[in-house]
Amino acid sequence: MIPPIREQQLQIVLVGNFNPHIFQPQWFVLQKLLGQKEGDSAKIEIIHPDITIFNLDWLRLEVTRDRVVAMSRFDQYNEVIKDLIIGTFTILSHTPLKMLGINYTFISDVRDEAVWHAIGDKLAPKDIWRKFMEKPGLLSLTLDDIWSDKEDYKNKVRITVGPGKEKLSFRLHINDHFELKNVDENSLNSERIVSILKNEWSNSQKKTLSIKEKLFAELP
Amino acid sequence: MSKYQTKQEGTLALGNMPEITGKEYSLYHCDESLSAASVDRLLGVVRDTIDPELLKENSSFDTRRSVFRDVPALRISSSEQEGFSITYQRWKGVVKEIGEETFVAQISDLQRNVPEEQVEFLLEEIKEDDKELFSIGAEFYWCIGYLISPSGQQIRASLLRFRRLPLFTKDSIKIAAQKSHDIQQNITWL
Repeated sequence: MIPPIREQQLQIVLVGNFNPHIFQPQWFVLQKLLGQKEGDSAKIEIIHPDITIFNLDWLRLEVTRDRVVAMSRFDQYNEVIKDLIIGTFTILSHTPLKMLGINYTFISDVRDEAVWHAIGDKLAPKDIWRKFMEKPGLLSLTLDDIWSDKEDYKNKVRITVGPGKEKLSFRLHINDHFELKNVDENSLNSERIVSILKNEWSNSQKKTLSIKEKLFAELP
Repeated sequence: MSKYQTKQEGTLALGNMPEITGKEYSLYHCDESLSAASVDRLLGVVRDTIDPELLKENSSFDTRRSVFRDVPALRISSSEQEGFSITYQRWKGVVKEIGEETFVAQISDLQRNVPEEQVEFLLEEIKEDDKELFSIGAEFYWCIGYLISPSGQQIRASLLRFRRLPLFTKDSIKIAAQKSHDIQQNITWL
């Protein structure tokens, strides 16, 4: 079985229309979504009308005009990040939001080259490719599940596997994607996406964990 | 000439910019906190607006690779976060009693369907920033696991963090009151 996880990351992604300049650490402090000391210690990479990026010890926040990404490698903060996003868009309730992604990336060090190749061969058998390629290797494989329909939104899971950036590593990315139905640009607000995040969070965590465990159990 | 060039070096490397903290930023921008130009002055950057076309991606999938793929100089690694953590158990708690050195809380397991428990914590476990949130009824998260350093060393870690939820606004209270009134009006007794 594949060795334990070396690195993992949660990303909460929102797609909509944003004013990146608002998302400064001190704005979060003012709204009591971050503590004063935490806000003061934030490391700002850029604050600009088109893009804001800042880092806390446990969070990296990137905001562009059409996307917010909150990410962390520290999974004890997963619930805190979820609350931060819910709090932010409860306050910024007139922000038009269309999509939500609750995404996880897991990286594992395989170390053994033969096992690393065996994983690639299991996920993408090479017989067909060897007919016209000399030595085919898996770089990235993405699978989409079917949409599941809810009253107000649809949901699907997209899984990508392949080698990580480090030599002999394996990367698994799970994108739990939610998309509003009947999107009317003029009447969009954040309430519907915030409600999906609140209601689906726990299920999404369980789903991701289950995918990771089942997939890893299948790998050589 | 690239859109992202610093005065000093001629190429953009956000990673090479002077690092400023939230406190420094707010002090510097006390009179002009929303001025982009003033941020650029502070950072010594000459910058056009980022081409929105570069940032378009109609999906919530794998953003860090897709959104910034055409902005070669933009630093996108989360290098500020060293190592990572693995949490084995997580609970949500509510403060029930506050003593002189400890507090008692009712906790519910967020991963397993098990009965709620009562646990006593030392007050010193509450971090400075969270003290303003600490009161009877306050909710918090408690996690136990390991911090894994970049060199692979595992350190046992416990995190107690109080929930920060938005305060009710006058508008939200008014809307809730109106909803409650509407429900009351629509009740029909059989």
